[in-house]
Amino acid sequence: MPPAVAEAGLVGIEGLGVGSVRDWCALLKPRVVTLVVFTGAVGMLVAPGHLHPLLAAITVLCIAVGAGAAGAINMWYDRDIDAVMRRTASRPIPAGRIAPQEALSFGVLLAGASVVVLALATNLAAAAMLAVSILYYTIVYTAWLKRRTAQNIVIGGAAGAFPPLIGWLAVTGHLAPLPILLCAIVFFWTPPHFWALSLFAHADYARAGVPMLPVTAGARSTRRHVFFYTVLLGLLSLAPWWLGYAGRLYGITAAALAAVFLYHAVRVLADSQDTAGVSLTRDLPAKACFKYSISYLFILFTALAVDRLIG
Amino acid sequence: MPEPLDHLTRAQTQSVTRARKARNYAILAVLVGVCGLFYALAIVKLGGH
Repeated sequence: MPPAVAEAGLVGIEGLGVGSVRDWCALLKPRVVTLVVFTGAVGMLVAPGHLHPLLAAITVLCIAVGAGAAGAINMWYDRDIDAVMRRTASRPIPAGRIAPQEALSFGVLLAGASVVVLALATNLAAAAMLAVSILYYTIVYTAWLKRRTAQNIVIGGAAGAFPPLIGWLAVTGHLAPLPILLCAIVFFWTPPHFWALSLFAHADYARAGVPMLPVTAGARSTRRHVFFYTVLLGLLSLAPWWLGYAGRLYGITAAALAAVFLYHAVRVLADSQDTAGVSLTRDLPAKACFKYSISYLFILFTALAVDRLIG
Repeated sequence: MPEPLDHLTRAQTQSVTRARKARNYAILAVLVGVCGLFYALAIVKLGGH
C-alpha cells in the first residue's frame, strides 16, 4: 500500500480514484514549487519599486499555484511513463488514487485562475509571463521535448527560469537586464542539476523510454556535460556582480558557491567507472552534486536579495 | 450525488466516505480563501495601489 494512503487511513481504496487531500497536494509537486516560488520572490525583492505587501503575497501565491498547476498537467500527461519508473510509480495518478481526467481539470482550472488573479492583482505583463511559463512547461517541455530529445532538460529548463521574470514584472511592469540574468542563471543551473540526478536514476528513464542524456549518450558523456554546464553556470552567476547589478557580498558568495559546485562537478567527472562509464561508487559523487545544486540556487538567490537590501 | 459503493467492503466504503468528506472540507476552505482573497484584493486596489 502506498505510504500516503496508509497514513491517511484510506485502507484498500487505491485504484478507486478517491484521492486524499494529500494526494491532491502531491499533484502540485510541492518540492519543485518551493524553488520556483523562492526564485520568483527574489525577482520581486530585487526589483526597483514598491508593491503592496498583500499584492506581493498574492503574486507569490499565483506563481506557486501556476507552477503547481503545470506540475499537475505534467503528471496527467506523463502518467504512462510515471507508472513504469520506480521513482514516480507511487504518484497519485499511476497509483490509481486520482483519475487522470480529474487531475487534468484540476491543473487547467488552477492554471487559468492563477493567471487571471495575477493580472487583477498586478499587471498583464506579469500574468502573460506566468501563462507563457505554464504553456512552455506543459506543451514545449512535457508534450514535445521530454520524450523526443536528450536536450529536453536544456531547452525545457527555460520553463523553470521564468519565475524571477514574473516577480520582477509584477513590481515594475517591464523587463530589465538583471531579471534576464537571473533567468539565465536558473536556465544554466537546470542541466547540471537534472543530469546529476539522471546519472543515478538512468535505469528508471531507460525503462520508461525517456531519452535523458545518460540513456542516449552514456554516463561518461553526461559527466562531461555536467562539468561543462557547471563552468558556464559559475561564470554566469558572477555576471550580476561584474556588470554592477550586485555588490561585493553577492560576488564573494557567488564565487565561493561556484568553486564548490565545480569541485562537485570534478568529482562527478573523475568518478571511478567501468569501461562503459558506469559508476563503481553507486554514483555517490553525482548524488552529492545533485544535493548541492539545490542549496546552490537557494544560497545564490538569498545572497543577491540580501546584497540588494543592504546595498 | 456519491456513486453507489455496493461493490466495496465496509472498510473500503468508510475509507471512501472519509476521503470524500476531507476533500469537500478542503474545497470549502479553498472557496472561503478565494472569497477572502478577492475581498482583500478589492480593498487594496480601491485604496489606490
